Order: sequence, then structure tokens, then C-alpha cells
Amino acid sequence: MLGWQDYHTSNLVVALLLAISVAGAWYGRHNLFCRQFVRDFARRRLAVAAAALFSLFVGVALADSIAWCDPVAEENAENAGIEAFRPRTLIDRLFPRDFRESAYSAPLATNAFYGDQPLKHPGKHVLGTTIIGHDTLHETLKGFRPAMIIGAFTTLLVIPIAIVMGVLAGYFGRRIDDVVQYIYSTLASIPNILLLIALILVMGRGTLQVCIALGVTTWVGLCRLLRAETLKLRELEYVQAARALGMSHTRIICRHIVPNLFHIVLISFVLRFSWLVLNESILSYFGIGLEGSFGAMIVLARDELAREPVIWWNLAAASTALFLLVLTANIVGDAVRDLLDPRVRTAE
Amino acid sequence: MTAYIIRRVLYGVPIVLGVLFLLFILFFLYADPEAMARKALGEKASVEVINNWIREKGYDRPRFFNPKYPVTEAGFWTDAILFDHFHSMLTLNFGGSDIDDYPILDRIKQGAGPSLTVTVPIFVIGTLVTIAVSLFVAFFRGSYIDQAGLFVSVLAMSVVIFVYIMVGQYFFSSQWRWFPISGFDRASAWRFVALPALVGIITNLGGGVRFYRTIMVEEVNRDYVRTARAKGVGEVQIMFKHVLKNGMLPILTSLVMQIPFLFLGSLLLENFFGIPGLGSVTYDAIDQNDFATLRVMVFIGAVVFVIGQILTDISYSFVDPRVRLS
Amino acid sequence: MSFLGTLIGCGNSPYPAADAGEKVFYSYLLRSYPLDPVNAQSIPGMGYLGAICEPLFEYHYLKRPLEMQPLLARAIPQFEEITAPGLAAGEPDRVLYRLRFEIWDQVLFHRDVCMDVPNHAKPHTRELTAEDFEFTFKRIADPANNCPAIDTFLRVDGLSEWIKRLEAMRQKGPQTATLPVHELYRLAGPIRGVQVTGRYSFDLLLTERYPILLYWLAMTTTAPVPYEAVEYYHGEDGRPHLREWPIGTGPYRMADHRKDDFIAFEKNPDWRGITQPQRRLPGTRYPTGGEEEDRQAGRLSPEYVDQPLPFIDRFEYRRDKEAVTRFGKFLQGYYDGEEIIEETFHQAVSGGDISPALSDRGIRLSMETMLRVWYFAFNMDDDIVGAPRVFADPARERDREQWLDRNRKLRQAMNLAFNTQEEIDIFMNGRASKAESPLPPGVFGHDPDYRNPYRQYDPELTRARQLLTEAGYPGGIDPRTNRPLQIELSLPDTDPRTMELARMTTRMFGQLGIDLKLDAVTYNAFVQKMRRGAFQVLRWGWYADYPDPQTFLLLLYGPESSAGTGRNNKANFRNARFDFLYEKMATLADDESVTWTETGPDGAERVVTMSRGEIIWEMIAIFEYECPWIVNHHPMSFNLFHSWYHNVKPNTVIYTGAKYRDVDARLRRELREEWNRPVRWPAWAFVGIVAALVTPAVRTYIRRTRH
Repeated sequence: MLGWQDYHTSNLVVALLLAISVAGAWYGRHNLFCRQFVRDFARRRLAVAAAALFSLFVGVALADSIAWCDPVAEENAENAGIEAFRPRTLIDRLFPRDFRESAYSAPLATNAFYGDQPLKHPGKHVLGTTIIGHDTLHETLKGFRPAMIIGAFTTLLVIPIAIVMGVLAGYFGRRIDDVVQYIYSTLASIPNILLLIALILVMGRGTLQVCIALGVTTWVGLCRLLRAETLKLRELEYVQAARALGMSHTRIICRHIVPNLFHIVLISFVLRFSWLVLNESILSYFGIGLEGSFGAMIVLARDELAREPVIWWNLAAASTALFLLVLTANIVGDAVRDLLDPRVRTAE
Repeated sequence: MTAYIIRRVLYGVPIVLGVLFLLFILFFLYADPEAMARKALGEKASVEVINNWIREKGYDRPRFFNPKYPVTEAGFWTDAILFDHFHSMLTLNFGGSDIDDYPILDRIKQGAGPSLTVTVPIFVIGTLVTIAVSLFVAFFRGSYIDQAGLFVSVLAMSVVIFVYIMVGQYFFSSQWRWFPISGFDRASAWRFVALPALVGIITNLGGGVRFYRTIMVEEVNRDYVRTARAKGVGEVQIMFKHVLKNGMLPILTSLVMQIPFLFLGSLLLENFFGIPGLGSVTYDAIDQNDFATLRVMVFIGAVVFVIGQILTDISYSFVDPRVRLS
Repeated sequence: MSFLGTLIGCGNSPYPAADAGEKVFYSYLLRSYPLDPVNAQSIPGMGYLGAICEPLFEYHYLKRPLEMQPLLARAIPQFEEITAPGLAAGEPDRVLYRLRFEIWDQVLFHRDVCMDVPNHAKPHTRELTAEDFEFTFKRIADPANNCPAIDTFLRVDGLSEWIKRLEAMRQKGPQTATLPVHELYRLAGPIRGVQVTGRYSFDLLLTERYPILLYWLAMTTTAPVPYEAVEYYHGEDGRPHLREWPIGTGPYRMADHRKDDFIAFEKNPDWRGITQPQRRLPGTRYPTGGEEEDRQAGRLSPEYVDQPLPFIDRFEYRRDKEAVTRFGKFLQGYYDGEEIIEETFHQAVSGGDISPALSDRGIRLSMETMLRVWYFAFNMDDDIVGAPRVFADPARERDREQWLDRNRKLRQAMNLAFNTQEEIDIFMNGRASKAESPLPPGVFGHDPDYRNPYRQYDPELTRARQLLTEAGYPGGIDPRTNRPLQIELSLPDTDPRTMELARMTTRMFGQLGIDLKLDAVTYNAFVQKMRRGAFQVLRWGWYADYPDPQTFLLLLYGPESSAGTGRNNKANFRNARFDFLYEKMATLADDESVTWTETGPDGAERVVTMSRGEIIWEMIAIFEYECPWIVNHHPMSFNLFHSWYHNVKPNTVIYTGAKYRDVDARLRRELREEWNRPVRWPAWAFVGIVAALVTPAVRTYIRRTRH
């Protein structure tokens, strides 16, 4: 749930993301390589369908990040109630205000699940309601935002670190390489999930902390790949030639090395996305995941299977949404990998 | 060869020390002793009792060095948490848990057995099944079986583990009553292990098949396979003699990554199925803020991983002597 | 194929097959709680200990309200006022309060190797004497033992001096530090207020008349432990620690303990009720009387009344962490009893009674309100919601009286806006009684007819809104920001369930126009906040160890404030009158009154006499007006029992219940078999599916190799 202090930031981030993707698309339109990639990708029907669905999920997450409060006239403030001051996202606005019941109700039911009182919104809750009467469909749609935050934010944290460390180690070798290798071997030798939990337990709970902890555990794999690739690139003829011509290291790295690493970054992150999202749900089991995530919904709903009659819709909605998200991410990731560089392997 | 082994082992030492230092930063510089004390002694404990506990556990001691001593004396360094932490971990003197003082080493000894009875079948049967299925799929590469196999793998990978566990318990225990829902008994362990092992194998299967298949298809497309095929070697023989043998190297690497999991047990499976293994110990440590146990578990996980890596590297060097030189 | 058959044929029993006909009680363990009587504090832990150790008194198993009766003691003593000479020559005489105890003879400790001094070769036993009680009181006093009763026992004459002497001995050096604890205690000398007067008799001398001490003598905390066990079970050299292997005089003794995995007790063959049934000692026979409900529930059937205890041969507890699997095993008949939780409620209960599906299986239900209270505590040191000693905001400090009044009205308004009934209905399926004051039903001072005016929820919130306006936040709008007033709720737990509850709370205060911000942090951060007093509202709960109002009112006693100390008054509530009354109330028995002189509002001195009940009522009136809490509910425990499990009457402060219960092992075996026949057809279906999948592949393979 967005507080009213941070919804401006959230809107700004969405605007920024949209601007970047428009700029990227504009650039890509004239780039031969990108056009080729798009053409090849379009030939894979399954991947295109998955990409479309995935984009829809991204869209939902973005829409859930755009929020504003309806203006409240100063003189009405006392009677407006708290709701008027709560920012509502585009997704919230798809549903009527106060679209809640007091407790469980089955999908499309007209009466409460327990007690049989008539609902405030009979037949309107397509996927039923949760324990405190929130609309399950609404909650599920809101679950995409934390998932995307996990995927996107961690990526943003990890890429710069991994690139800097990987390239420095691969390009300069020797001491720097030793240090970088030492750091990532040390981190890699700790079982991922334990490191994650230890970090969060000690740092405290929260979106930023979870992303940092996931970042610390993921940059290692990417860094290793980038270092190996840089080692290869460094020996290539044109890089050697550039060096012979007296080009500075910084220019070589920026012009020749980093651009040639981007496909690896892209592949590894599309493939990592599902890992991140699934691991967040395990963190939720330990009570240290993100609030409102699919993991949290599943963990909350897991004991509902013991109820009689069984309450299945919350668990079904959350796990289906999570399943579809991870599935589409996996399919798109496979396709991107196959097209860009089938030799990049990530063993999980 | 001996020189290589020594070099390789020596390389593992700084990594273990690095892990220890990281643990020191996390658990002694960052963590709050009072929270640990409250979890251990209960909410009704009085302040004096809490402070007693913190003093007894030594959490109030100087961290890096002890200013009570002059810098020249050994006590300046040795009478501080940093030194003690390294010393006790490296000598395996883990001490008692923060929660109930039960010796951590005893708990690890008790938990290792049940953990292994679950993880070893998952590891062995899982690896065999994964290799068999991936060989099968790779054999039919390009055909509908391959396509279907890959798609099912992706589907299986995309399901979160909780769903497997819950569905497994619901059908196999509650509805069909084949196995106990949860629990463990040393005398007839297999009855309790069957269901978690099944779930464990299935969760790992999708990713494994996809990964191994890629390796195998890569091998199939190599020149020597083509040569062999041209010489008239049968397709089945090619799969087993050449593809599998040469694909073993990357498969071995990925298997090593799973070794710490073998010892640490599976956090989720052990919890849901009530198996008193190391995964369960770790879960309790997390649940109760028992940092003493948690840091030992992290440390052991890291050590086992480093040992595993050294062993793989050494076994590599037997397979491929060039490794030794690099 | 036959392998598959045997695999399935074994069924779902989580126990070894051989135990099927034994009189074993099966249950689960949430974790291994520490079981050293002196500092065991968890409710399950004290429940296990109640089978193994015996204190001086116990509660009558069936009578309600709870009634104390002697167990190891021959009778419950009365306080006698005595005069003792001054501590030093020339000092005036002191008034002390004496409790004289007589204990039973021929009470034996468990037969155990630890008692075979010094060889520890074979199991041995010895008789319990008054000196064992002296040793036990010293253990309670020893700060190293973290005994929860220490605050109460500091009223024993000379106890604090003894602690100082002990600490001094400990610091003397390695010679004394390595001594066995009982030797060290001996060197530290006797405690002045614990006087052994004979082999079977001793006196306790208190500096204050303090009836609450008697409750502690009915708890396992004060159960005698032999010094041999403390010395022998130290947790090293492969021996367990005493907290894993407790030794006492109880009807059961430890049979097996694997940490966090498995605990078993077996009948103690040397127990006085078994070896000397003809003596008819108290607590060795099933009670002959009880309540009407006991008669109806079959707890007074002739099969049991006045029969020698105990009935069950062995207790086995296995670790089971997940609520769903626990309930599943209960339904399959593998657990004899089970507490109903929210998730399983509707499966078990319908229309206030047990559901037909369960009652057809003979399962029975029992309900009891627990001696617990859940509440939101306002931080009284906070500028916005509290009544701090000094306001942080100088502007507020200048108008101190006005702001004290405004903040109180804010608290009152928030009290009125929280709909406890909804919380109980949604999250507890009604398994709680709404709280009007800190005192739960069953505790002296609880008045079932009392309605706290600030805890009566009105959906229109008329009164709440009016109070909020008077507090300076019309419609919840904070005039300083022109936005809804923001208040932070700190939560000790971050699991999704707590978060759902918190969201409901947010909604309730939202209706009033207050913006409740959730502060869900790890336990680590929560403790820091609580210690620093850096919170506004937090959710907290308390359970009583003994049925006295003092343990609940303590939570509001000023010197018990938690800020900076971590003590139990989480609200940091300080009210001079309340504290004064608390101190009076704590030294009284329920039917007593006390007289004091005080200065009335007109400045004249007057003599006041109040009974304990009247004092408690004035304290509750202060609580009601000041609203330092939003008191939520007293939870009820709903328990299910199978038809073969007899004489169950759960109560969280009756620790010695194990010996009164019984199971019918033969009936249990039959029903388990009937309920758990494996279903075989899916196995054949699986085989079929696999075959159907493999066949086309084989065909393709044959086609390919032919090419």
C-alpha cells in the first residue's frame, strides 16, 4: 500500500521508466541489430505470446505505481474521512471505493462465506475475498508490483556493481582480478538462501533491504560471467589494435568492452527474474519478504486449505498469478538467450 | 599432483576466513544483543536477567580489541570478540545456542542424520532421473517429444515449491493415506522420507532437465560425435559413450553446487514434513533470532561448499591434466 | 509393482507399529522448551514439568474457580506475625511474617544414576527432606538461574544479603567458582528467612505479608530438585543438562529426550501414590468432587473417582511445526487431543458446538477462557498520544494541563473506534471474550457486568468523533499539517497474518479519520524501539502464571515502566494513585482489607479502609479514565479430544494435570485402523499414465533405429 509521502517518487520512477523505454525503442528502430533481434523474436510464436502476457504484467505493475489523491477542498477536510487522503493507484481506480466485505466470501457469491449475511457488493467479487474481506482479484493485481520491484530494483542495484567489478577484473587482471575473485568466491561459498536470510535478519525488514540482500547474492553470478567474457574480449584483435594505437583504458572499456557485454547482462537478468521472484516467496515464508507479494499471499493462504469447506480461491489466485509470471519470464528468457547467445548457461 | 592439491587447499583458506569476517560484521557489529536475550529468556525476564545473559554470552565485550591491555600485549587482541569468534569457529568450539545453551555441535550431529536421509535420496535418485530424462529428451531433440519435454520442464520450474508440498500432502497423506503427513522415525525412516523426497525430486527436475539437455545437445553437435556417427556407431551408443561421458564435466560442477544443500538439509521440506534435520535447526534459529546457531550454520555451509569445490577441482585434474597447469 | 504395493501398504501411521496397543499418550511438541523447574517459563514447558516435578501445593483438578490444595506439604500454612530481634545489637525488633511448612515423609526422588553418589553406577533414589527445599530456595535466589520468581522471593528475609554473599564467593576466584553448586551454596551460608526446623519441616520468614508467594509454591518453579541432579546433569561429557533431563518427585520421569525432536515420560514406579496407595496422600487419587459440568462430561465417572493415580503409562511428544499437519494427524487419530486454531475452527465447530463430521467420530470439544489479555499499549512517554513527564515540544509543555487532557481524549477516542468484536469474529472465530479491563474472567476482581464506557463500539462513532474534535483533531485532521493525524503502530511480528490484522486495525482507525501507519520491523528492531520508548502504539499480550489480579495490574505499575529498562509496563504508564493502590493491593489476600491515613482534597487527614476488591475497582476506574491501553480480548482455548481420551479439563495454570488423564488404547487402535485404510487405485492409475506416455516414445525410437 502506498503511503502518501512516497507516491510522488513512485510516479516519477514510472515516468522515468516510460521515458527510457520510449527512448530505447526509438534508438532500436534504427539499429540493425535490434531490428534483426525483433524480427527473429517475432518468429517464435510461443515467445511472442509469453512476451505479450509478461508486458501485460509489467503494465499492471506500472499502473499500480501511478497514484494520486483526489483533491479535497480545505473546508471539507474534516468530513472527507481518511480515504480521501489516501493516494489511489490506477489499479485501485478500476475498483469502486470501499470495495470490501467484512470477511471471506466465495467467488461471485452473494452472501458471506461464514454466517450467511448478504454482502455489500453481491456477485461483484470475481475471485472472492480474503480473510479481512479485501477483493482477491484486486489483491492479486497488486501483487505484480512487488514482484516487479524485486526483479527491477535488484537488477538496477546489481548491474553497475557487476559490470564495474567484472570488467575491472577481466580487463586489468592481476591484483584487481585476485581481489574481485576473492570477494565473489567468498560470497558464492555461502549458501544463497542462508546469506539472504542472515542479511535481512540483521539489516531489518523492508523493500530496500530485501532488494539489497537479493542483490548481494545475485551479483556474483553475473560478475563471474562478465569477467570471463571480458577476458576473451581483451584478447580480440580490434581491442589489441586499439590499445596499440594508444587509446586510453577508459575509452577501450567504454567503447569496446562494455557494449559487447550487454547481451550477457540482458540474458542473465531475464533468466534471473524468475529466480528472484520465487526466492522472495521463500523469504515470505520466514516472515521477511515484501508486503503484499505473491509469496506473502500464498503463505497467508496456505492454512486456508485446512478449513472446511476449503477456501481455495486466495491460494489459487496467488499461485496462478505467480506461476504465470514466472512461466512467461522463463519462456521469454529462453527465447532471448537462444537468440543472443545460446552458450550462456546459468545453472540453478 | 600433490603440489596442485596443496595449492588448491591453500586457496580455500582465505575464503573461509573471509566468510568468518563477514559473519563477524553481520552478527557482532550489526545485531542487537538485547533482542537475542529477550527471545532467549522470554518477555517476562527482568532487566537484570537480560543484562546477566548478555554478559554471560559475552555480547557486551569489546569487539575488535580490548583497550584494557596495552597494544603490545596479546590480550589486546585475544580478549575481544573478533579473535574469539575466529578462534571458536575454526576450532569447532561452537558453544551453546543463544536460546537455550544447548551445544550447537550436538544439535548438528543429531540433525545431520535425518537431513541426509532426505537429501541423499533426493540427490542420488534426482540426479539419475534427471540425467535419464534429459538423455531421453536429447535423444529425440527437435521432435515433439523434445518440445513437450522442454515445455513441461518450464511449467514445472514455474510452480512455487509450497504448491508441490501442499498438493503432495493433501493427496498422498490425507486422501490416499499412503504416507504419514509429516514426522520422522529413525527405525523406519523411508516411510517418512518418501513424500518429501518425491517433492524434492520433482521441484529440481524441471531446471535440471533443461540444463542437462542443453549440455547434451551441445555435445551431440560436436565434430567427434559426427565422426563417430559417420563411422556407423549406433545412436544409443553415442548417447551413452560419448555424449554422457563428455557432458559429465559441467554436470559435475552443477552437482557440487548442491553439496552444501545435502548437509544443510532442505529448509522448507524439513519444516513442512517435520523432519528433525539441519534445515529444521536453521529454521528454528531464524525463527527465534538464535544468531549463534545461524552463524554456525552459515559457516558450515560455506566450509562444506569450499571442500566440495576443492574435491571437484581435484577430480577434474584427474579427468583433464591440463587443469593442473593453469 | 509389488514394491509399489508394499510401499503403500504401510499406511500413514507416524509411529512404530509395536506401540499400537500401549497406554501411551501421543501429542506434539512445538519445540523443546527448557525444563529446569527453576527457570522454565513456557506454558508447554511447565505443563511437562508438572508431570515430573511436584511443588508444595497444587490446584484442585476439577473445581472452578481454582482451589489450592496441599501436595508435598501436609497443609497450606497461614501467615503468622512474629517479632524477631534486630539485625545488630541495639537495633529495634523487626516484624516478620512466618509460614510454617510440614512436608510428607517417604517421598522419593526419581530413581536415577545421578542419585548414586559418588559412583553414578546404577540408578538410586533417596527421600525428600526439608533441606531439599532450602537448596531449592537457594537456587531460586541464585542470579545465575534467572528465576522468574525472584522479584517475589526477595521478600524472604535475608535473601538479598545471601545473593550478595554468593556473588562475592563466585568472584573470589577459581577455587570457589569450580565447586559444585550445592557446596558453593553451603559456603555462602544459610538464608536467614529459610529455617529448617526438622527433617520434614521448615519455616519461611517474610519481611512483608505477601500472599502472592503462595501461588508460586503451587508452580513447578519452586518444585524441589535434588542437589545430586544439579551436580550430575551439567550438559557436558555426554550427559544431558538438567534443563533437558529434569529430576523431581513427580508421578512421571523422563524416559527419552532428543532436543527439538522428541520427549517421552514414563510412569515413576517409586512414586508414593503407586508404592503406598493405602496412605491416600493428597494428590495421589482422582478427586471425588467437582463441578456439574464435570459430571456431564464424564469426568466424575465411578471408573475414576477416588482411584489411585496415575492412569497413563507413557507420554510421547513429537515435533510438529505446521498447524495443518497437526490437525491432519489429529483427524487421522494419531494425536489424542488438539487445540483448535482459527483455520481449523469451521471444520471442527459449527453453530457453537462440535461439527457433525467430527462428533460422528466421537470427538469432543471443551472451551475455557485463558488467563491472558491482548492489548494495544499507547506509549505514555509520547508527545502525541501520551502523558509524558515532560513534553518534548516546549509549546506543549507550557500548556501542560491542556495537552494532558487533549491526549487523553485522543486515547479515549481511539479506544472507542477499535471494534474488538470484529477482530474476534474474523481472526478468532469468536474464540475470545472481549476485554473490558485488564482482568480476565476467573480472576478475583473481574466483574462480568462491568462495561468500560470507552470500549463500547458504536458504528456511527459519534462519541469518538466528538472526543477527537475536543482533542484538537476535528475529523481526524491534524491542524499542523492539515492532513489526517498520523499515528504509528509497531508490530513485534511480520508474518503475513499479523499484517492482515494490522491492516484491519488501520481500517478501523481510518474510519475515525486517523491515519495509522504500520511499522512492521524484525523482532530485533522492535525490541530496540520498545527499549528506547521510540514508538507510539504497540500490540502486546500477557499470560498469567497464577490466577491473581496482581500479575495483570503489574503491567500498569509505574516502577515497572519499560522505557530504558525493558520491564513489563510497556505503556510506561505512571500514575501516583494507581501505584499507591497497587502496593496496597499486592499485600492483601482476596478477603482482606487495609487501613491507611491520607490527606483528602479538602486538606484534612482522614482514615481510609478499603477491601482488596475496592482497591482493584478504584485502579480499574483510573485505567478506564486514562486509557493507557486499548484492551482487546481474553482468548479462549477450544480443545478437541478423541473418544478414547478421558478426564481432560485444560487450564493453563494447572500444571499437575497429567496424572489425572487417561486413554483407552484398545479403542484407539481399532479406530485408527478403521480411519486410515490406504486408497490404492491412484497407484495403478499412475502406472497406467506413465506407460501411456512412454509407449509412443518407444515406438519413435524403434522407428529411428531401424533407419
